[in-house]
Amino acid sequence: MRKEKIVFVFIVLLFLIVSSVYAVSAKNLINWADTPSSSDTSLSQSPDSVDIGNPNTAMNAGSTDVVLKPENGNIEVVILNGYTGYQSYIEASIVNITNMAVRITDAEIVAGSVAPVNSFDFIEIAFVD
Amino acid sequence: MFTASYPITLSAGQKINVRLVTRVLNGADQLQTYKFEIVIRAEQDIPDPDPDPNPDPDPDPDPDPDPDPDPDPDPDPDPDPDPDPDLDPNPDPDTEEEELFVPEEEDVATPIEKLELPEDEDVAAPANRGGGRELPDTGGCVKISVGISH
Repeated sequence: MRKEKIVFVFIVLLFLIVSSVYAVSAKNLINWADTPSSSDTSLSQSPDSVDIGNPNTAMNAGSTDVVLKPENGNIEVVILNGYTGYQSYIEASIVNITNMAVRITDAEIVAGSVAPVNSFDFIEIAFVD
Repeated sequence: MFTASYPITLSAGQKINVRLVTRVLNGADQLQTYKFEIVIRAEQDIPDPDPDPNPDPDPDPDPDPDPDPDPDPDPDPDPDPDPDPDLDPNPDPDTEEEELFVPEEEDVATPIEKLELPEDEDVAAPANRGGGRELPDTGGCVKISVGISH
């Protein structure tokens, strides 16, 4: 009975060690590389456009600026004068910083500074060709 | 290179270019400012720890090339569910219409008349056959003597 308890405790500890190592490594699998760019910066004065299938009309008022934040490595996006249907493209590079293969599963919006409205509810991002 | 095919797998140290689209959804106020950050989710691409080193290229090299599509092409399409549909399980004895055979009068044979047997005293005693002599009573046995004359 005592031997069984020792084996059980050993298995639990082994599981905790393996899971913690995996969690740490999963946080640091990839990084943004180089400087990201936007298709419609506030300085370019390029006309707005919408893709086929977007039922809205371009108003030629919005702009998108992107920067790579050095403190956390995330890309920060600022959309000025956004309106329903406004869209822009962001181009960036991703590098695998591990010595093993990694698989990219998703791109998502994180907290950042929400001003003046909650961007989680009104902004959609997705990988495209 | 831009790609949107999931999952995107990067080998060790590999760098790729990606393209994302941002879109303001319906319901947003007009001419608003949005500020947010984008992160990429990734996970280790763990290979199959025990891939089959010798996968069977043809698990069934000789499948039946001509399987019988219809093992019984002509089953009885109309089996007789009632072999004797007119059979009355409860026949009414009063309604029996079977015709009885009634012979014609001339076909009936005339009964043979009873022969009248004669009485014992009416029977004549057998006549004594001439030429012989009466045999002595031997008590049930018959003694026959045979003589030869010349």
